Amino acid sequence: MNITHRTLTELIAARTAGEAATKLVADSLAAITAWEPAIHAFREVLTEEAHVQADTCDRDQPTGRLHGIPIAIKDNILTREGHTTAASRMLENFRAPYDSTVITKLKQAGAIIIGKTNLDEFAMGASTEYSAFGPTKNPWDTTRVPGGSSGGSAAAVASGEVAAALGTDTGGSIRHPAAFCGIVGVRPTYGRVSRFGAIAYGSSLDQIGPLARTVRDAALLLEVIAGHDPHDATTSKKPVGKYVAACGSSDISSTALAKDEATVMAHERNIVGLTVGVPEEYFAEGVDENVRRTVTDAVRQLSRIGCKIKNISLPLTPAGIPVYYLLAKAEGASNLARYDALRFAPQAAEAASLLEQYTESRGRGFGAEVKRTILMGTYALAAGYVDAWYKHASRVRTLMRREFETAFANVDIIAGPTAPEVAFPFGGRADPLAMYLADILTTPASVAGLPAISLPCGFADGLPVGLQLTGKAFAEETLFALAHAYEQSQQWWKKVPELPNDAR
Amino acid sequence: MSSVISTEEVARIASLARLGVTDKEITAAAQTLQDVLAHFAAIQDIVVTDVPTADNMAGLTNITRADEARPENLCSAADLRAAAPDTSDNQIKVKAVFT
Repeated sequence: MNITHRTLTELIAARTAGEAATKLVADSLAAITAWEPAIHAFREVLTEEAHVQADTCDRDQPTGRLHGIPIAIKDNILTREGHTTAASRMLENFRAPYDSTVITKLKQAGAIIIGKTNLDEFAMGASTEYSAFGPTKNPWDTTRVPGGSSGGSAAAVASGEVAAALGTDTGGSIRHPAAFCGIVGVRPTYGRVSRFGAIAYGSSLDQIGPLARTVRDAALLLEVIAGHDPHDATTSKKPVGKYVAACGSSDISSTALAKDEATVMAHERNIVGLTVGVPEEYFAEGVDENVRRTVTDAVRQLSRIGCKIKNISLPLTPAGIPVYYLLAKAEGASNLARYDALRFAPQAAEAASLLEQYTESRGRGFGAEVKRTILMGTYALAAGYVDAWYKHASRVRTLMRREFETAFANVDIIAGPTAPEVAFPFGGRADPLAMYLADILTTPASVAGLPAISLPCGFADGLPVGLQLTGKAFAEETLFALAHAYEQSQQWWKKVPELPNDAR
Repeated sequence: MSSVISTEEVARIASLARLGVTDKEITAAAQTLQDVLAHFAAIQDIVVTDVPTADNMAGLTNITRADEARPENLCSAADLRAAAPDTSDNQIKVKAVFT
């Protein structure tokens, strides 16, 4: 089986050169057939629908930027096609009655929804082990987790099943699996992308964003899905940036010349002179030694391509996990109240009363982590505890936002590792608290509502390591410019995982 | 503020949240909640005097619109009914609220 591993940009070029949408869909489905038994990235593959759409594309005059290109969608984003389950028994048979705004935008751009990807139930988790339909496996090592919660989307992109996918990021759910799977993942600024039609977890935190193999591809996908939406009152009316243009007009094709050319390119793209802040707390105890070394090398490379490196301190970093989880679980408990098993979801039919029906249906439909969310969140909001837990966390959140604002008065970008470790083995973080701690480096940007990107910066113990760049609110262009310049100077993205022997 | 969380307390919270839990789940949850909150208690030491809560992440105010139905928002009633476990006479069927 030959997996083509073409990037989104390459697929667009192929379409422009006349390659049929049916060919692209066939390639993607063949890769899915080859990889799925080993990794289980998809919760549902929309084979029939994708074929029909591809046929239509090949008859139509190409219109949008993604015309005829297969894209995978995390299964907590509503699509008219197939089911939308959030990887929960609660929504096992749910068919969405409308498309999410991001799906409408993708369709307007001509994209083909090839399938729905696996996740931790209701996006609560960092490994996909909490999916009610079985975990996704990491394409680099199938004994390890792909990260989460958008683990299915990340594994689908890393393996070459698709060139790009959508995920959602509440506390790191795009960036964390992107790092574990060696691809690019972007959490946009809070308010940049509409969440209309995304199944809510923590509404003051949730964002939809792209996962792709290259920075330019992620930039392109974000450009398609971003913007104001009257259906989501938290979306900003600020104009969407020119994210692809920020990556510059040309890429480096010759690896041999890569390093020198990248330096020249960096000059052309105004990233020279950018100040990159490196917080000591992002390299503190608890971050794996090999990860620390790999990311330190990446920071050195940022200096080599023209950035000023400045050591900074963000002392509130350790508060990120408590603040994030107290708020996310409280908001999650509130959002999950809608699953009453009356309008959707399987019902405990034998219940004697309405109350018993709620209680029984919810008890059966939700998995362990979702139940923990409801219990912890309800506790943090309960009379007698709300001031000490929920409100206190919200005040500390204000302090964390201020701390970032102060830091960004002196630096343009903040750099560090995306995750404190490489992909861990299944069961490696079996204790709930240990699983929460996996988000230690991704929660700060979430809490502050800032944009952040994870991109490959090398390998430790044969597994991918992610470099995380965090930017000022709505400064995605700067993030993309720097991330692209770094990517082109190193070319880590060209390395792809091999199909396991027994799956060939 | 770290405190012992009793199984009674967890059972009460579960009933407030209309969540069916087994005795085993209650025991496990009490322990987990206690461990997690003991860890999270570290933020109790952060001084927040005069610091407001972060209630507006988007920084937007007064997002209003005319109080009119927007047909483009609406999906078909048939699609909504199709998602419901039990329907009758074009309506979603529920058990009696008052018995």
